[in-house]
This record gives sequence, structure tokens and C-alpha cells, in this order.
Amino acid sequence: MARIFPSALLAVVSLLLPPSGLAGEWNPDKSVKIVVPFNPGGGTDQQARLVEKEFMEEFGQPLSFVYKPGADGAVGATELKDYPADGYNIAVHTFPLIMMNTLTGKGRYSMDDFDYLGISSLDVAVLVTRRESPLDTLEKFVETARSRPDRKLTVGVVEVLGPSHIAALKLQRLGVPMNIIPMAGGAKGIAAVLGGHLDALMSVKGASLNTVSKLNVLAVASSGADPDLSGVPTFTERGFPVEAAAARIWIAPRGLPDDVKARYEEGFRRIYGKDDVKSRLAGAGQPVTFESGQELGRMVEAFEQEAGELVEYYTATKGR
Amino acid sequence: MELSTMFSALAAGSLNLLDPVNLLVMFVGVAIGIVGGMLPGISVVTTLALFMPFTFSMPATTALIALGAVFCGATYGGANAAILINTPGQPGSIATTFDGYAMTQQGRAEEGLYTALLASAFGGVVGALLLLLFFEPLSGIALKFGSEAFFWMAIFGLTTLAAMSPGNVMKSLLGGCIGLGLSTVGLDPADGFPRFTFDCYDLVQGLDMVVLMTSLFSFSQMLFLLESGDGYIADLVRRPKAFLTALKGVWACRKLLTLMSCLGCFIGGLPGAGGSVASIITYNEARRWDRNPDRWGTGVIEGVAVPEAANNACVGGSLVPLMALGIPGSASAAILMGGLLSQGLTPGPQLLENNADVAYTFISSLIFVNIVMVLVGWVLVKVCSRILDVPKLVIIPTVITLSILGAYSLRNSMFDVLVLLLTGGGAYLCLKARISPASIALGVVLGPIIEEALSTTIMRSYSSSLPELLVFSPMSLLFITLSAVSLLVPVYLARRKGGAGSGGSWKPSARNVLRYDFLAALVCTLAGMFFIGESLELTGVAGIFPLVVFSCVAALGLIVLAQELGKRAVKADRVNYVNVVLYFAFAMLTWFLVEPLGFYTALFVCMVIMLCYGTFAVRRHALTAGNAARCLLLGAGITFAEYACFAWLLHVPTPVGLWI
Repeated sequence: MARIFPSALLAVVSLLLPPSGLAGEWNPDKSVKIVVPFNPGGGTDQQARLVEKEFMEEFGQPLSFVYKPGADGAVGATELKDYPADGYNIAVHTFPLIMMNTLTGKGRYSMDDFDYLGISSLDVAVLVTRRESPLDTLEKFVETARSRPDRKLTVGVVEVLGPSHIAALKLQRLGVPMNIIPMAGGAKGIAAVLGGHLDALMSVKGASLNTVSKLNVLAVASSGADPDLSGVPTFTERGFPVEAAAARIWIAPRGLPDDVKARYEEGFRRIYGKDDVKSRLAGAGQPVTFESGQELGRMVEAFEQEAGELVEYYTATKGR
Repeated sequence: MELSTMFSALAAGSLNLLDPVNLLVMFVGVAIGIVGGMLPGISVVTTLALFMPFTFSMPATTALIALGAVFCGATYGGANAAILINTPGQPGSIATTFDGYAMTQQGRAEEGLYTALLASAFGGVVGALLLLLFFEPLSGIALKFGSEAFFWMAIFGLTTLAAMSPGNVMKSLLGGCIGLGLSTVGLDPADGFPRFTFDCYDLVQGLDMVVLMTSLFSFSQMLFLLESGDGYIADLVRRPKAFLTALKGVWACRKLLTLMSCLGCFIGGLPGAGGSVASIITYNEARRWDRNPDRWGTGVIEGVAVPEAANNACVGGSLVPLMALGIPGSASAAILMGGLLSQGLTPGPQLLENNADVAYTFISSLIFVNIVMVLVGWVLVKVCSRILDVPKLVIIPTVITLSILGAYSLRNSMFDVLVLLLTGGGAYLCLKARISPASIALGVVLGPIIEEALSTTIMRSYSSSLPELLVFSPMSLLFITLSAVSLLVPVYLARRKGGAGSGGSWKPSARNVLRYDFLAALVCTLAGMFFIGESLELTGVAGIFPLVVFSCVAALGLIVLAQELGKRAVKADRVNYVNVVLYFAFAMLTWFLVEPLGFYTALFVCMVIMLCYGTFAVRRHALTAGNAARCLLLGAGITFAEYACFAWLLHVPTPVGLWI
């Protein structure tokens, strides 16, 4: 109940407010171009597609989708940076991937090329094994991993330098030896762990919930217990401070006028505060966690140094 | 689930289908799918993704029926273009070109089209039935496929190369390796770092498979068609009983088709394989077990029916892991999963328990939709076969501009258009050196699967040993044996048959050094050697696959060079290369004009140039105002149709210059 109440309140407030903001505010007078730097139909695309209708209601103009997939989202971000910062060009992306791309030579941009409009959803990393596996708790996993440093446990991750990979690298840095294997996407990873070809998989929650009845979820890489995964401990509470999540983020080219930026933030806050949006996104496995652009800015800043270290650690240890 | 409850759920599901809205959605979905699958550069995945937003406002059942209909239609649609103009609309129809286009050239286009339609529907029904009855055991077997099994399965698919162009095994192997090489550009699958990009940022995104497919088939095929002086692609002999002939033909090989559909469905159920792999493998298998393998490739009905049935059986197959485990079996199934999720339905074991009505309506719609497909497809075959009544010089500019649009719309990238034009030109040059684009395409399709599986296996082997995992595991041994048989049998057969003819006359001749085939092989060999050097600079797992591939390119290049050296000069046909070069230049001109003029304006200008050149210079019609106006009107009409299709229906944003 405590979780529903604030959102219900927000919904009521948003109903009372005039639908298209206050008079004199900036509002687009033609369609807004949205760059989706991934393939149509994927998680990031859905994040935008599922609020397409609400965007139109809120801003009075439709979104016009431009797909620029390639190089794990780096191509789209590189493209967006050169678009005019006039409020008619925005993008949806995934953090920390967008930042990691700048460190691995995939993207020709830096995080300073963007203005942040907000975070719409968080997907935390989870460590899973298949139901039949004897490694059904984090303790057993760590113990086994430490007992056989010459025949390391094979642990899949679902995206190179994505949140699951980051979580695995962090765990390894804390003294849990693993053989980290990047898999091409969540589906392949889950299939491999279910088939017994991997000892464990560091996945993200959104990609594992469908199959959760056939998996042991050993731990979740969030700061507190996860409401969707009752009884699953966090890494931190078991003595391994590992936190990693993918955030779906909304960005624009740097230099957006203040009123435009404020308008977008307010608009997105209102869109993601709506109950039907929340239930729709929760149904799609991407529950809403709205945070402001400033918060995203803080996240980016806080992660900057660690990201560099992780990439360095990764390049130094890969293939060993 | 109990069998009786399953049947009652199924019966209820089938009743849902009779709802007029659901029926309408099925017809529309199939039609959209077929057209999308037919157009070069628009794959099944793209069609589904572009159609997806329309389903958001529908009720869950209707939305799923619509997506299923588009999925089935698009999977089949690729066959039409494959048969009529030798350009598979999507990777799953590559194998259909081998016999399908041969049928068209013999004037049996209609028969081929109907065969593909009926076989597709047949395969689709088998696939959906297997999904319905056996999805749990099937998904269990699919999970047994580890990365090492995927690796060898894809290698097994690659052995089709040996059978593809009899008598010239080395060249088709060389082509396959070139294709594998093309697939290594971009991010490596192991570490995710860029390679072979030569500081060109656009190359980081890699060479898209669908773009390469469009260039290898559509574009190079159009250049090839310009060689001959015929006015039409092929004569279409209208036979009143073409449908019946096809029906009889398909019925006659129903046992083979059932078997191959089951195989196709199974391959489709492996996460990451899909229609392209299934159709290639089944074509090769059916051919190998035939009493007379040599008749394949000459326009036999089975040659069209088998790959098409397997391709469509994959639809049901790719939903097996989705329904049983919540894992999408292919990129298309992933989009379908997005559709389920956005309707608030969670795919996986829970779906059949919590939303059995929706799930069974969906599965029974996949059976029913194939019947609808025969009806819709039958009408479209009548329309499509008219393409052969259109003069070649109108089709060529249309297909070239469509390819450009399709290549662009994949990633909204002008660089992809450039890739299309350049690799298309390259593919034509390979074609002239008798390295078939189909063999290159096979490499392009299988390359990413092979490399990804290989690097995963190598990384997994750090915790055990590589030979144990890659060679001596049961799955590996099975596929290694199959591959060896598949590779060696055609070589052995060719040796036994043509041994006396070609083996004895090997006399190296210095005159051959200047022949085109020799020079082309030389270029391939040198390029292979250059890339061996480049691969050696890559660190870790990322360098292994390219190193092996380019070593093969260089080695096969040397073998081909030796073969060419000893060949007797064959008198070449007189070919009008001026037209080929000019049309290539016209297409390149489009690329240069897009920025100043705008996308569609540039397409229009080049279309008119090609049409005028075709009318006045090639066909030598009188230079009258009437003829010029006809070209102008025709160009405007075709460009407008393309504009309507891509800008209005598919909402593809294109660069704007002076005008649209």
C-alpha cells in the first residue's frame, strides 16, 4: 500500500493539472525526432514506443522515430550529438552502456555532449543458476569459485560491458575468481545456463523474470531488496558490495535551452507518473523508476572514475 | 498439460479466430507480411518491427494474431522475389533461388511461385503443429545445444558450399570464405571492440547482413541482367493448370516435405539459428539423399518446396523456446516477445497456465493463418508474375532504387547505401570470375553464428580443455561426422565422374596469367594475405576467427590460381559491358545526389536517367517528345509508389535536400 499511495497521489495531481502544462511554457510545434540507437522491438525501443501515445497527449506533438542501431548504441549517440539542440531532437538510451562506449573506442562522443532529461526505468543485474544446479545460494557459489581457481566457474554475462558484465567484474575484483564469458544477448545467456553449458549467468532482472521458475536467483545487485524477487538477498548484504543496473535514459544534444529542458523533465515526470503507463511498463518487464536529469547527471559523475577502472581491469584480465 | 484440456483450449482458441475482426486482421497481416518479405532490403524482422506499433492499440488476442500473420507472410514472401528475379527478399529464401529462378528461366515461373506458396503453407502448418504438440520436449533438446554444437552446426551448413556449384568446389569455398571475411568487420563478438575499421567510423557498425544480402543478390543481379540484349527477364508461359501442377508436385513429395519441415522446425527452435540456416541445411540434405542429386539446381519442384517448407516451419520452431522457456528463438521471435510483453503477457511456462486462452488462440491462429496465406498468396502470385511482362529496362531501375531505399531504411544510414553499391559492384565482379554471390551470401549469413559460437566455446574452454569441448563432446562428434560426409561426398562424386576429363589436361599456360578469372583470384589471394597481417595484430579471442578465415581465403585463392593457370581458354560470350558500367555509375550518382537534392528527388532523377538511357540508347527507340514524356511519367509514378510505401506506410525518415 505504501508503494501505491504516492503514485496514486501523483496520478491524481497530474489529472488536476492542465494537460499541456502552464501557459507561456515551451512546447513543440512540430513532431519531435527521437533517435533509437538500437534495433526496433528491443527493450530500449519499447521504452519509447510504450509512451508514444502519452507523449502526444503531453506535448501535443507526435514522436518521429529514427532508428540508428549499430555498435551497441554507439552509432546512434554519435549521431545525436551533432543534431541541433533545439528541443526537436531527443534520444532514448541505456546507461552505463552509453558511457562504456566512450571508453572502448566504439563511440565518437563524450558524456559532455548530452543534456540529461531523466531516467525512466532501472534494470538491476542478478546472478542466476539453473534449478538443478548445486550452486543454489551465493555462499555456495563463492565457496565453489574460490575452491577451484584452476578450473574456474564459467559465468556468462549478457552484454559486453553492460550492467551484468560490470556486476561480474566487480564481484571478481572482490576476490571471487570466475571465467567471465560474454554471451550475445540475454536469450542466448539464459538458454546456455538452462542447458548446463554455463555454471551461472549474470543477467538482468528484466531478461530473467520470464524464466524465473526454472532458475535459482542467487543475489541481486541493487542497494535494497527487490520487490519482484522476494527472499533474494542483495550482494551487499552478503558482504560483496556489488551494485549494477541498466538505466533507460532520455537525453538530448548538449546546449538545450533551460525552459525546454525543464519542460521535458516535467513532461516525462508526468508521463511516467501515470498509472496505466506504470502498469504497462511493469507488464513489459521494465518497471518505472523515474529520476530527474540532475539525478542522472549525478549518476554519470559518480560512475565516471569507476567505469574507467573497470574497463582497465577488464582489458587487463580478459582472456585469462 | 492434459491432452483433453489442451484440445478444449484449442477448440476455444479456434472459435476466437472466427471473430470478423480477427479474420480481417489475419488477411491484412498476411498481405503486409508477404509484400514486406518480398521487397529487397526489408527482412522479416524489419517488417515485424515496423508493423508492431499498429498492434499497441489492439486487444491482446488480435494483436498477437496480427503479428503471427505478418511473421508467416513475411517468411514466405521472400520466395516470390527469389523465384522471379533471382533476388531473395530475405535471407531465408537464398536456397529457393537455386531451383526457383531456374524454373522462371524455363518459363515455369507460375508453377514455381505456386509451389513455394503451397510448400510454405505446408511447412508452416507442420511447424505450428509441432509447436502445439511437442514444445516441451523440443525445447529440452534445443537446450542441449551448447556453443560447440552451434559452431559445428553452422560449419555443417557451410558445407553446402561444396555441393553448390559442381565442378568448381574450390571457387564456391573461396566465395564462402570471402563472405565469412565480410562478416568480421565491425565489433568482434568476444570483447566488443572495433576491428578492421581502418579508422572509418561508419565501419564500426559493421556490414549489415541484410544490406549485403541485397547487394549480393538484388544489385549484382540487376547488373548481370543488363548483359544480355533480351527485352524481358524471362518468358512467362501462362499455363492454365499451373496451380494444379504445383499442387500435384507438392503432394507427390509430401513425405520429404514433412521430414524436412520437422528438421526446419527443429533448427528454428535453436536460439540463434533460423530460417536461413534451416533452408540451406534442408536443401542440401534433401539434395544429398536424392537418387539423382545432379537434377537439383535445374528447376526441380523439390528444390523450391523443401527450403520454403523448412523456412516456414521455422516460424513455429522459433516460438518453441519462447513458449516453453520465455527465450526468443530468433530476432523475429524477440519482436513477437516484445509484442506479448507490451500486452502485459509474460511469455514462458507461465503463459500457458495463466493466459491459456490467449496462448492457444495464438497457436491455432498460426495453423489457420497458413490457409489464409494460400488465399492471399494466390492472388499476389497472379499480380507478381506480371513482373515478367514488364520490360527488363523498367524493372532494373525499379529494383535498384528499391534496394537503395531498403538498404537505407534498415539503419537510416547513407553509409549502408554506399556499402550496398560498392559490394554490389564487387559481387558482380566475383560473379564474372565464376564465384557465385550465393556462396558469399552463405558465408555472410553463417559467419556471425560461427564466430560467436567459436569465441564462446574458446572462452568456456579456459575452465576445461578446448579439444574436449570442441572436438570430443558427443554433439561435436555428431556434427563433425555429418560435415565431413557432406564435404567429401560431392568432391568424390565429381572426381569419379569428371576425373578423366579435367584431371589429365592440366597444362599451365603463361597466357592464362592475363585472363580475368586469374586476376580476380589473384586479388582475392592478396586481399586474404593482407588481412592475415591485420588479424595478427588483434589481441585475444577476437583475432582467431579472422585469422583462420583469411588464411583460408589466401590458401583457396592459391589453389584457384593454380587451377586457372592450367585451364584451357574458353571463348567468352560477347557481353555489353558499357551498359553494366553505366548503370552502376547511375546508381552511384544517386548516392551523390541525395545530399544536395533530397532522397526521393535523387531517386527520381536517377530513375529517369536510367529509363531514358534504356529507352533511347539501349532499345534505340525514336527520340520523340512522347517517348521522353513516357519515361518521365513512369519514373514519377514508380518513385511516387516507393514514396507512398516507405514514407507513409513505413514512416521511414529520409534525408532532405532541395526537396524531399
